[in-house]
Amino acid sequence: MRITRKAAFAAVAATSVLALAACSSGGGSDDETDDAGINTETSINIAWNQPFYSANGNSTTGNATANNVILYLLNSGFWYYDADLNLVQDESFGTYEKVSDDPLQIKYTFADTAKWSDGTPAGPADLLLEWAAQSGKFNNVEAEYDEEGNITNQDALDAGVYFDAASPAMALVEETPEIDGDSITLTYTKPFADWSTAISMNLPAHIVAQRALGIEDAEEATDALVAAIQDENVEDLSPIAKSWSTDWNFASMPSDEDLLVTSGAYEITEFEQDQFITLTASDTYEGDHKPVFNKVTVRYNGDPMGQVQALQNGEVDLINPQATADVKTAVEAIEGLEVESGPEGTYEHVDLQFANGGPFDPATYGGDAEKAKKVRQAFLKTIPREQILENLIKPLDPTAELRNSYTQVAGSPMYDTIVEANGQAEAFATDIPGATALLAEAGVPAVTVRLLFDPENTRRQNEYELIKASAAQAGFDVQPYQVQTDWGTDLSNATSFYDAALFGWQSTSTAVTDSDANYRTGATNNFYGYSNSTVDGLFDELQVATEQSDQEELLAQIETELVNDAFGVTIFQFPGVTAWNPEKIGNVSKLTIAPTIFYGFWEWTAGEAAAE
Amino acid sequence: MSTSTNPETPASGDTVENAIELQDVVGLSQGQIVRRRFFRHKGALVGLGALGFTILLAVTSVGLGPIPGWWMWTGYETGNPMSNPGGSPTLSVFPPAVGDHPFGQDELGRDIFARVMEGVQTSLMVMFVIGLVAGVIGVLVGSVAGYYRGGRDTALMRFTDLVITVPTIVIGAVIGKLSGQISAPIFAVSLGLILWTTLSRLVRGEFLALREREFVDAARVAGASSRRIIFKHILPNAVGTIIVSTTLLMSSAILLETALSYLGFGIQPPAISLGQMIQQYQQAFSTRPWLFWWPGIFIVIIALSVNFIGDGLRDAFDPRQKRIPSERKMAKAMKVDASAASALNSNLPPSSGKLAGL
Amino acid sequence: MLNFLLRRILAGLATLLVALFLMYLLVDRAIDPLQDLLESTAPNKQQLIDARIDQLNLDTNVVVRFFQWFGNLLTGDFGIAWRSGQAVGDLLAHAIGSTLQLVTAATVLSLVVGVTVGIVSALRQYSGFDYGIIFLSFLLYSLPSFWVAVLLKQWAAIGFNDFLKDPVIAWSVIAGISALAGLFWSLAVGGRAARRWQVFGVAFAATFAMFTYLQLSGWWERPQIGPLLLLILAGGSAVAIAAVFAGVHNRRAMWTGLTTVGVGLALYLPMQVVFDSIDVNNWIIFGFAVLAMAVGFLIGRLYGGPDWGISARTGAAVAFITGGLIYVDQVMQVWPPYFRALSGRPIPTFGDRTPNLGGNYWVGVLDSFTHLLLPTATLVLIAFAAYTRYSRSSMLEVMSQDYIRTARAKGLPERAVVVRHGFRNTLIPLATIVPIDIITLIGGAVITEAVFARPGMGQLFVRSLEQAEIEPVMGYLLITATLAIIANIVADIVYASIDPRIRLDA
Repeated sequence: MRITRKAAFAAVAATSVLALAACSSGGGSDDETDDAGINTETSINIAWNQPFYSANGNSTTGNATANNVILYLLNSGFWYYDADLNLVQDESFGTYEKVSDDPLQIKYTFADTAKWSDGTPAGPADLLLEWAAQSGKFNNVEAEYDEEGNITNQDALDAGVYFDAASPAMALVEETPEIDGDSITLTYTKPFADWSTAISMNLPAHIVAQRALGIEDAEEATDALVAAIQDENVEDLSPIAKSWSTDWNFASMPSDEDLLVTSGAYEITEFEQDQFITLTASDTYEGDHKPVFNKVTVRYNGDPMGQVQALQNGEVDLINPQATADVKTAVEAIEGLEVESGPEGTYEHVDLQFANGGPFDPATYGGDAEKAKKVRQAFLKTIPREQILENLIKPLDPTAELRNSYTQVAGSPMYDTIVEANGQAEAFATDIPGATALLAEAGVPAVTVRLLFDPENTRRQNEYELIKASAAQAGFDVQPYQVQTDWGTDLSNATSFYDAALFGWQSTSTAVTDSDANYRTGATNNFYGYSNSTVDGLFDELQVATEQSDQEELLAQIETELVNDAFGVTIFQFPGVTAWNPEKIGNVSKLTIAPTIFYGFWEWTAGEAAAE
Repeated sequence: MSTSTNPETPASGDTVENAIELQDVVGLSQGQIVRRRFFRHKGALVGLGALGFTILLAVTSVGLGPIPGWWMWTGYETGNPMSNPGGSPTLSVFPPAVGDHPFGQDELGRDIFARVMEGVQTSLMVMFVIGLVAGVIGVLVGSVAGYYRGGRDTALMRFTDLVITVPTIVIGAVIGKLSGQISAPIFAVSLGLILWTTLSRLVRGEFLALREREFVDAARVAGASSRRIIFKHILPNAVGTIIVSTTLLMSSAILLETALSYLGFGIQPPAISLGQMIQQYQQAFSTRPWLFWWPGIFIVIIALSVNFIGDGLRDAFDPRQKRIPSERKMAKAMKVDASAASALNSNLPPSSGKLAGL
Repeated sequence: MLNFLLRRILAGLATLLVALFLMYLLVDRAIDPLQDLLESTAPNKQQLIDARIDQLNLDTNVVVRFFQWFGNLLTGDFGIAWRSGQAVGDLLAHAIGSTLQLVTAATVLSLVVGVTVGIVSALRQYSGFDYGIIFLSFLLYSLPSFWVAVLLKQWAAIGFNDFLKDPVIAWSVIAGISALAGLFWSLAVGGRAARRWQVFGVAFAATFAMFTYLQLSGWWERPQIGPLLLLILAGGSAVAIAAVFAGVHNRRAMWTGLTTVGVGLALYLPMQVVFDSIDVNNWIIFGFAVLAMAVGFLIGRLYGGPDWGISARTGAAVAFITGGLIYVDQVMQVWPPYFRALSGRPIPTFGDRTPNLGGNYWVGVLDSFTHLLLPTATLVLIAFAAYTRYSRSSMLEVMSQDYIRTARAKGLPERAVVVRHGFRNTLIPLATIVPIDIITLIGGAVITEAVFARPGMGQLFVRSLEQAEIEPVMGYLLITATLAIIANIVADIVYASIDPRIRLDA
């Protein structure tokens, strides 16, 4: 049998046309205006590298910068950082104050204007839920393992309560906080230095309760949740914990609009997976952070150069790409942009090994601590901090400066005082003769130093080259360490394979107790066997120092000890590049810590082109 | 089309042209004819030259394996001082100079010329290995299917269909992901295992036609085994198809390798391949263009040469393709053949781009 | 025919099943869904690992898992992308449209241009034009697509947008472009020296005049077709179609074409009203296209004559082009607001739509077009080269056949020989190659989508493979494999329908 040519042609043609027709988006609104219905609202496009994936930024899963920057626009809170990294209370949402020093009691009071976008007022129940989640008090099941690492209590885990979160600060609040009308009071069992940032607003308690307990009315649901927490009702807390931990994890527009309820200036109105998320100014928001742009669209593009091209092409108006010299050069070559370089949250440093039998370990010199210290001081004096800054960082950020504090980021309120007190700038200024003299004094001839760093990171390779050349002048032979697994794992596990470590720590807040983990004897991030009882004692005091002046004093003492012990040296803050199109947006400022470029969105100004 | 279609033209044109053609091939073996035709294909010759030069350059400059080359760098040393600010190339045409780093340096001071040469070696190795593996499998599958027909044919062709079903880049990506950190040669062999399908179909077609020919019958009557018939009698006759499509396969293989490396499923550092270099230096595209252009140019040179060689081979092996001599040659020939010349000159405008009737 | 189809479909399904099975094993080997957990430092690591093993059934044999997946597939459940918890069906439904738009646009464009150039190149074998095209096609064939894409982004998108800011082309540049166009046409048309100069002159003048018009009328600021350009473009294509397919001397075909253009022109204004007053969608547009072609066909039929078929087909083709121009004109009418909305930078470098654009159907179409532009260009550059090569060698082969000689011998004009006998037979091998080539293009789209961050199937595949999500990967493979099998069957059917010597149930 023969099919006719025409029939076959018609069939093929029709199929392809139909396929094409079916695929392209059909329909469209038919409101015919001069603008053919195109949106002309003030809007702004911002490029970001990693897509948003969880609206619960306080859970272990969701605690990532990608989420927190978006949540900053979505939710209000009791406090935020200003441009100088001072903590500021947002009084249109609520206030908090220390009502007692012993025991430490903090009272949070919600303002009348604190509302969720579905109209429900934000209130103490929200903070109570957050405490319940963060304190770990209700996590009644811990996975138990047999000798082979298998879980032995799976059923109990399923029936039990497990909040996917952990905060040592909230663990100090052992008693269930007391609710009194619009306020809630947290009582700490012992004083805690960073009480002001210890808890923050997160999820709407009434929606968690509605979803977990199946109660429709918001008020009833909230009451049930509060009761469950107060009565430690495990049966109810189990679904609440599950809902809190998992329901707010979404990577595209969720079907349940309840998950989109926010307490801040914006709401999510469109979310295309991996493409963009659009935030629209919330009608119900009554607080002080009035949005300038009706719509903020964050478009995702992981390629730094792609972001530069998109900015050049007007597809996005504000970028903060991963900074490399190429990106900087490229973005500066584009006309009509504002480009600003500045420090970011991560700082580079070199730490020394005290207990691995290497050149910096007293044990090597038969327990002669003084001798080992002289070798350490000598090595730190050879590290060409200025040269590293000049060659590798200044090209990216001409205003970059050396970082001289172990604990505080430059520009934070306590930085200047601490740096003046600790003496790091003088002690570890590059001084080859001084280093040679110290080595001679110690009577140690040629010293080989194995330096740990990420061999795939080109900047670190460059730093290594500079350190090697400089240290060689004083008689140190610096070699790259032998990679065992990868540098991150080796840092803690293969301490006998390196004598000094070159890498970056990231600061996520200005909390003073964060540094505890780095320098205390046996603490999590102290991989070097460093132990100084004075430092430990000072940290104990710091933990419970609730006044800023005391904290400053204690930190200065701690850092002075660290310099005297030649613990290590800090070098520079990572440089970053921010660029924006001044025709669309103005008054952009960037914090060194999250929310970086999104900081102060209520102070942005709409450029000429954006306001048309 | 609008040139005159004088009825006499084709005939006389054919005569002259055939005369030249026949004169060329009279008394030559097939190999000689192929060689002659190939060497007359300018594009193929240039391609062969360029490829040969590239191979020579890549192998001698940075050496092969443990054997050191004449170039001063190996592409792995870091920390060389920058010859030019920013590491821009020292190569210059005016005044002619090569300098220490003709193709420039990256931010670590590594020599880009040496790196590109290493990359060329990897890419060429991948290309040849893929060509070899895919060629052998394709020929085996195609000849067995075409010669035996029947069940074996159906089974093998179904199997071929199976492999064709999924786009090669997709299988390639899965294999790349699977092989992860494994070495480039194994990666190339795996790619070869999926790229043989087109070749096997062509070889099968060739075998289906050839097995009906008299010389095969003769061999069979003379008692030759199937294997002997396949390899000694039929295969040499199909060698043209095989060589041509293997060449084209190799040119697409090199592009596949670069594409996979670009997606991050290809050859992993510290091994160097051209696609991986482009991917790595994509950011430097507008600021340090030499990091992006040199590997790209070498990919194009290699793929282009191989394509032209393939085209030349196709012309050389295809007996139906009558090479039309250039007009100048025609004119010369016509001067020799005075009678033909007088007949033709009236019809053929000297600058006509095309001979009517061909 | 039915018998054949049935057999092929059954065989296709079997192939599909086996291919999916093998790919499932391969992908399962390639990915490690536990990797991120194994590297984690979470205190409840073991618990998390066990939960994931449980969630993904990793302790079940992979063969069993395949059949579980396949069983779900038969019930219409494509599975889920476990990292984000999204249904694979939804993901595919979203991604497939983006990819098909891209691949279809690329195929159609490269096919039309590639075949035309290839045939002309074959007719001018061993001329300068031919060598130029061979070299060009080899060059394009040898370019890594992502390399081209990066260059296109910088030059075509950003460069063109910069140009639009101040759309004035220097006269010397216009002259240069015109000279190039003249050279191209004179080489393509060929002929004696005098004729070449003549063609060069005409092409040069026409190009120059066109650019002058575009420049002086402010066309770049407000691109549109409008009645005047519509008349010129549609009229020109009517004459060209009639001349090539029916011959200059076929008065009826010529008049059919011109009448159709006249009808189109007369309907131009009424159609503006129609488009404004109804809620347009793709189906309505498709309906209009069919209607237009029917009208064109009818016009040709009414002109009658012994050879009315050719007139009718000419009419239909001209009607399609005229209608297409009116459609494009309509899309271009939303250009000014679109241009304003995008602050004068309409050609994007990434994505497949402008976020929050809003707007009516025409804005949506325009927005898809601008986003399709660069990815399509990337794919076309490469596919074009392949089609040029196919059609050139196919045309060369056909033109050396005896029936061409016979056709010439019986005194047919060269036009008829080329169009009726050469062209049609050239298409036979192409018809079998194109469907299979589309699969290659879908593979090529993997790269293009990655470079242009288009959220299509290729992106879905690459991302899912990187994130160790087997079900979206399998969903992607299912779609491509099915398309490949359908393409093969279609190739066979098309082959049989254009080559009468082939019987499908033989």
